Amino acid sequence: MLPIRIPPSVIARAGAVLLIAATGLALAIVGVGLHDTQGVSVTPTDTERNAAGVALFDIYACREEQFRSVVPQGASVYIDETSDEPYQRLAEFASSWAIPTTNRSMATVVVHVVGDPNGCGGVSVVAEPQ
Amino acid sequence: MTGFWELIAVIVVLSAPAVLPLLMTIGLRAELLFLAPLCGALLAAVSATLTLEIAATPMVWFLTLASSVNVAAVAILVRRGRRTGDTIAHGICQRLGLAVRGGRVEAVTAAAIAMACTLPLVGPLSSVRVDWDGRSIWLLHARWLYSGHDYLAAAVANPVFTFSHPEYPPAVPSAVAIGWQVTGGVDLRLGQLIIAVLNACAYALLGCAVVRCAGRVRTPVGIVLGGVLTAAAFGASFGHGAGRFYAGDGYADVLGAGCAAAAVLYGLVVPRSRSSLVISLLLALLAGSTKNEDLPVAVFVVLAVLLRYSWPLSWRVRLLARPAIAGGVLVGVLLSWPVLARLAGAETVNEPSLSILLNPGTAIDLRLGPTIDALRDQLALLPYVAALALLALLALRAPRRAAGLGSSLWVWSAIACSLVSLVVTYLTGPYQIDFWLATSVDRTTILARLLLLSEGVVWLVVILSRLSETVPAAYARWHVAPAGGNALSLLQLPQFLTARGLGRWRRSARRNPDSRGTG
Repeated sequence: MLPIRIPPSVIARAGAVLLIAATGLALAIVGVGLHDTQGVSVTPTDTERNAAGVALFDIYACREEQFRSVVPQGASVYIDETSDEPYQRLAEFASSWAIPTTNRSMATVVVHVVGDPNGCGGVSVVAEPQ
Repeated sequence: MTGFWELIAVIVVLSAPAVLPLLMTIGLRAELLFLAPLCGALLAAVSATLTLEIAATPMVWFLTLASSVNVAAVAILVRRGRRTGDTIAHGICQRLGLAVRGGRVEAVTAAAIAMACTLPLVGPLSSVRVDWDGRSIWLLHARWLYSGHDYLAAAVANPVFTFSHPEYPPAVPSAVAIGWQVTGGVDLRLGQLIIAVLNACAYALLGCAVVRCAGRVRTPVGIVLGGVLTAAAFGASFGHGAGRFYAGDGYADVLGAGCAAAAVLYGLVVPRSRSSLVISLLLALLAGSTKNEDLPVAVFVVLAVLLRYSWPLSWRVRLLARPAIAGGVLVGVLLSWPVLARLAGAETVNEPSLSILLNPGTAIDLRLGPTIDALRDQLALLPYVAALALLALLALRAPRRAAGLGSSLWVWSAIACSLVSLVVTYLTGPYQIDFWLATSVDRTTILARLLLLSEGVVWLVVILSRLSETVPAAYARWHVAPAGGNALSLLQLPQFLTARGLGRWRRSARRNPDSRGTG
């Protein structure tokens, strides 16, 4: 027996709120399709999927995996790209994996992308030791 | 279903620290459901600042802050309990018991608004999508935060990342980083979903604010119009490009704009109350911690809200000191990240050039025209809402004031503040103006569009409230004459508004002119 008494109306109303919230969540599960997370994690186990013909998102996930396979963790990386798209993506892939630098002579690895039909979306990440 | 349960876990972790403090300050209201995750994001933003300045990871600071806030809340309850001789649990239950008065209405409000913000997201969230700024700014910053103090401090000062605007506020990335620390890995899809949920919560609070504007008597009107505003806010979040939907693609603009607009409504329009004050200040803080463009409006809201709640001002130092100190602290919190990030070495590519303002001429000629044109395109709603507001101001100012609603001029001041800061930004920024406008103006004007929509909806609430007072009152005098005036409700309005009912009322009014127009 609890030393306090919770009024029944409190329980009923709290129950009503929970019930309605649960209804909303059920709708979210059914409608929003949140279960579709296949291949969107950057962890290797989740990204083993065919990238051809799928969204750009998946292509980037694949390129990030490539980046991690060719650049050693913690390496100092120089990004040898001038246009925004490959430069910013490579800088993104380097985040929390390597240390990007603007000084080429200080870098241990130089990365850039090449048009490779067998790569992710026709492009592969290439790393060359400095 | 892994992604769904991960998302639920993250939202629970973000929301949990705020539940008890919010219960104590605003009670068990519909807002609690939507405000708790946003408070978690705010706490995460403070954690990010501490991570940058001191050490550790956002999660460590988040847990520390969450514990501190909740220990303080329990201490307050214990103190109150000692004063009244009750146990803590009894005190909480008493407060809950007081708070859930009208709980059914709150539950219906929460459900209706939740539906209004879930349905527009069904389509967009069914596909994985993180667009340019989402990747290059928000989720990139989240990666730095996820890696902890050392990497964050190095990345913020690293010229490689200048394109990413390292000085941008940390609320969105830190909430995502905490989510990743909960689930144990960088997952961009999860980041997209967390941002979308926070966006939905901000828009839901816009709808809840409309419910509060309608008051207890006309809650059904408020719920319907609140749901309409929430859904319309999502409509205002579409961009120019094909399929651009800023509420679901990893962008932070919607969260900043939604919080700023809801802060304006709660602080400057909704009738004055402690809960509205708390909600407004929290949302203003979050808006300023989310997007640079919303910072001026957030500062404006903080100062204006404190002015509204201190009015009439007493010039005695003792009474004026409290709001002044509160304002100083809140503005300090808002400016902490931009200042500290600069001190940590953050450089940005869009450094404003004040020389343009000091030496206008060519730059103004080149930039002002396209900027005004672009803003005009985005704010097509403005003349219509302005006309409605002007007419309503002339005809319905007294009922609006009688309902306790704040002046419409506050909302227009916030719109002006937002637009002026945008124009100054576009004039003084370094980018080629046509490209810059084409890639951003549809996002940066979301706040102004939301405020225009809100202004229109609040006036609709006033108009419908006025109608629901006058028409049933006239009907009551003519037809039913119930024992209690409250027996008539909006549910009876359709019956009265049938041709037969209106015709009979008009005939009766003609027969008895004294009863006309006195309702």
